[in-house]
Amino acid sequence: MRRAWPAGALLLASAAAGCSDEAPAAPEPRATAGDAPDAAAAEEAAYHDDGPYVLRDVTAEAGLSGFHQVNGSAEKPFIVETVGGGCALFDADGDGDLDAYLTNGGRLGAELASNPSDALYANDGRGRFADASAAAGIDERRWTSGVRAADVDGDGACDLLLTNYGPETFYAGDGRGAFVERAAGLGDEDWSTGAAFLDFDRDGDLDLYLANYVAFDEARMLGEHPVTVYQGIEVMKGPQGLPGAPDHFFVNEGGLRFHEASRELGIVEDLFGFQCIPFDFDGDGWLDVFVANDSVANALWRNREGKRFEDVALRQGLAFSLAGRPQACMGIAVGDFDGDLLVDLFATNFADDYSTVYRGQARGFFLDVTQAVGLGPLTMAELSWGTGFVDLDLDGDLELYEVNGHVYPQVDRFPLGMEYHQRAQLFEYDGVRWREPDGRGGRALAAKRAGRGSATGDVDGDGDLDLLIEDIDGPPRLLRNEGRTGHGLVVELVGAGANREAVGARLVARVGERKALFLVGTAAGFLSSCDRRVTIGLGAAEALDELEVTWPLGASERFTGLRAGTRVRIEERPGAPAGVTITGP
Amino acid sequence: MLHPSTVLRPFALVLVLLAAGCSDPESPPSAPAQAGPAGQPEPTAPAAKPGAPAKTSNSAMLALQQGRSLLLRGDPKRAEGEFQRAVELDPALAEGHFELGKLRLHLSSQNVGSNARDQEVLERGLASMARALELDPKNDQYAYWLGRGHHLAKHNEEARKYLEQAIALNGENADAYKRLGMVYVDLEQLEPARQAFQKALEHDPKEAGAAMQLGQVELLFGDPAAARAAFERSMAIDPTQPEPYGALAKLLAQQGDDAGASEFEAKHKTWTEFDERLQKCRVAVNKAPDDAVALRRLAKTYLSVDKRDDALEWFLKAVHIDPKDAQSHMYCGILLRERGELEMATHHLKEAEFLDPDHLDPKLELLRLYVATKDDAAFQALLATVEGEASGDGASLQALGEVCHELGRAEDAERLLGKARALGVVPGAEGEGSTEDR
Repeated sequence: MRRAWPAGALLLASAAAGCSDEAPAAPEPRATAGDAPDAAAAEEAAYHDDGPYVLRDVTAEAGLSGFHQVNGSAEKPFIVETVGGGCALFDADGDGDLDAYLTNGGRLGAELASNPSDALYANDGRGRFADASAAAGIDERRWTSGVRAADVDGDGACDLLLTNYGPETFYAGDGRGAFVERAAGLGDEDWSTGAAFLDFDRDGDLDLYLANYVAFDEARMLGEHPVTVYQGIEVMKGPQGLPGAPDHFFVNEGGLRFHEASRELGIVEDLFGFQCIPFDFDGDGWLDVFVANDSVANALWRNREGKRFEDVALRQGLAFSLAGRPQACMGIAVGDFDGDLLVDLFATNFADDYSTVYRGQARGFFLDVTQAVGLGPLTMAELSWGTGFVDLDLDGDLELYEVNGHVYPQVDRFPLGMEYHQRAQLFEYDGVRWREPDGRGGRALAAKRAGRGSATGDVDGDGDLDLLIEDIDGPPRLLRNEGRTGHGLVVELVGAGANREAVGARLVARVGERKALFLVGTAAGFLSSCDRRVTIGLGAAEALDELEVTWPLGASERFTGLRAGTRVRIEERPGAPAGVTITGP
Repeated sequence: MLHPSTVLRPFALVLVLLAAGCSDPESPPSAPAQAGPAGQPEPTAPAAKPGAPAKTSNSAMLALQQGRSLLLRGDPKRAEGEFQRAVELDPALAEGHFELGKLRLHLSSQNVGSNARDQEVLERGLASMARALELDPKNDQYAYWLGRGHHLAKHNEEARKYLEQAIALNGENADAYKRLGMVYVDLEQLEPARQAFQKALEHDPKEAGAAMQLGQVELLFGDPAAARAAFERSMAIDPTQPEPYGALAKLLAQQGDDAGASEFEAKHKTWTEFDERLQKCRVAVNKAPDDAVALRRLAKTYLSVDKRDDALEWFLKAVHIDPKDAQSHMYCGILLRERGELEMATHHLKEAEFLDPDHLDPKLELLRLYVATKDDAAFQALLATVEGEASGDGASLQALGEVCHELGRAEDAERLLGKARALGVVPGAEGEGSTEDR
């Protein structure tokens, strides 16, 4: 007689066996989604240039509209075609102004040579750009996700690491605007996204954390065309349902040679990684790494004195939202928005979920306070990517922006209450809550695009921060800051040894009783590189009362009398006072 | 003997089906108060309240019942058509509008775990539920579901209005309090949220979700002690939810208790893995609500973590969709027997035995049942039959003997175990084992 049914305790494994992932039928297409005409007009009217923040779109006059990002086909049937890429603002040629690097994608299955190239645009110092790719030796036709600009070998010239769908590319810069591809020993074939340089072992040079996204089997995917169902619509599959690609850690052997050491250091993550940032969350002097993961728990790799890493995201409060659930994190903003000198984080997320404010607590703990500071309703509808805490009006406190755009073009054809092209958003903090400012940051922010990466920096040399946005399937957006501003001060730290980037340094700026915290080299945003210099808003003050610099290896120095409107270069000199140079008005 | 289709709880099961597709992040709603013990005939709808229309057309009622029946059979699209027909036949049929609205709420989302919804379907659902409440303004369930729907549509002010109306109509509606708490959180009004979650727990002390969310609000208030108490309460109510373990791990780490933090991190991992398995099964059920095997798998998943009420609900649904599912009948019998609902347990176990006469387990469970019902004659008769059928089957005789031993039938046990030994069965050796569904 049979006893085939387990009448007693059931094995957990039995329950999941055979559960399928098939799709229900798609709904009938209906009228194109979008705002009703009246509501749309009212919404549009909220964007004007009479508010305190005015970002004006100067892409064309700045000479950047000739660049066109290509990100696969319009229908985006594969996840590779949806992520897009980042951009960088950095000084490629050593002339002191910010040049722009724009990443480009491609088409699946196409010959590499037929893909469009990334581009380097040189700044004339007044915010006008010219394509300098050829002269710079940039002919990068791999499908680029992210760009990390940093002086990796400490030779005084900025280098470029490009994270790609496929092997990443390392370009060594000569400081005069030319770049040469170098092997560097990175050798990661996976689809890499976020990159963070940090001196994890305090040996003076920069090591590399590389976040990888999906293990995309191109031949199989092109053959099978797998789909998933989003609100009854068939859309591209992933990242859920696809294998994650493992993150990598590369140890700098000196110069531009790295060796892979992920396993020996305990990094065994094969989740869907996007942005990763180095910062010393627990103040123990060893730089840690936070990784924003898509659809699964985030990772916070605690650095155990340069010998190994362990993921402590859950117990530190960064793995999930307050509800204890994973979100689809994309980009990360880093800053001390509430002025308590503890680092706060902001992670951008998928649509129908809020982007999350993690307020820093003592001893490196974090608490999702989104629904206590006003950002829940403001960020719920958008699918968000690039982000940053920036002091746009130089009044001494931080604003916050996020760049938005959906991943499924199909949403425009169904009444899902969302759109593929979305507006970027700007928020200001009133000391208690975040809100959208009067004018919403200007008419330029009324434009709806499929935004992705972004970078901030003073492009036109007027002392305030401008914003460069990389959209997919179109030109970038250069948004020049034309709002009212207070006084500002730009500080460039130059570290001793090979970590000239001073990654891991902390600045505390004091004006009167007010203090503000800045971190150097955190690689915040989404797959992009902001200007590495720190812009400090002074409001009406004519000078900074005190600037405390804590260098990456722990030495601390104080500086006084730094005047508004200047650019200051502070060079670390171990065993001696730092050198201070005024480099600009 | 009652056939399962005549004894299932239509309204409760309709809710269960809706809960399966419910994509909002909180726990699905519990069955309403009017649902009675499993297996007992129930009213077919939320109890008619004073002020409800007294007369409805027979055709409309038939369409309504047909819709409910289709829903039970896992055919929500046709059910929607029947509900629509019901309200066209009798536009004053509040129950019809309510069922239609609730179903559309469900149909607006097909993704377990996703917050996004088809706004047009959702709006139509809201319109139907609003009509139901207009026709029967004193029905707190109608007000609750309309408030819930508005919350899912992110109409937070409307949601608050209707949930407060539900509470005014029935001050013990724990679901409404919990949902109202969630609305207040979304409105970023934390003190009213805290009070609403406390009320939900006061009226339903088994509301694990309300306890968890109360803990989250306490964290935002900066009260870790209150948060910890709430998380611990949530865990005590429902130990299978991973979120409270994660929250407590962080709190303990913050208090310097690394060992405690590690312990709860491990539990969080365990229950997260379980939750992932559960979600897979729920997705499968959601995509094929008429697939009895998928329903049975979901029921077994619940049973594997001792969520016996949930398991019974889904086993009952499985036998409703596939009355020849002997295995689900057996589990229904076992679980109903545990509840003391012995008549229905007898029915299901006899169905299981009838449908799969070669299977020993239903017979063993029937023997246990006969002892519970003190029906010695039935026990002896069945025992004799099974002993005869298994006369050459040592493993079966061994199992039979063990059950007799467990039931205190020492003489029978000794005889059967002796026979098994004579056939070469070594006591304690593993039997044939189970392969199905593994």
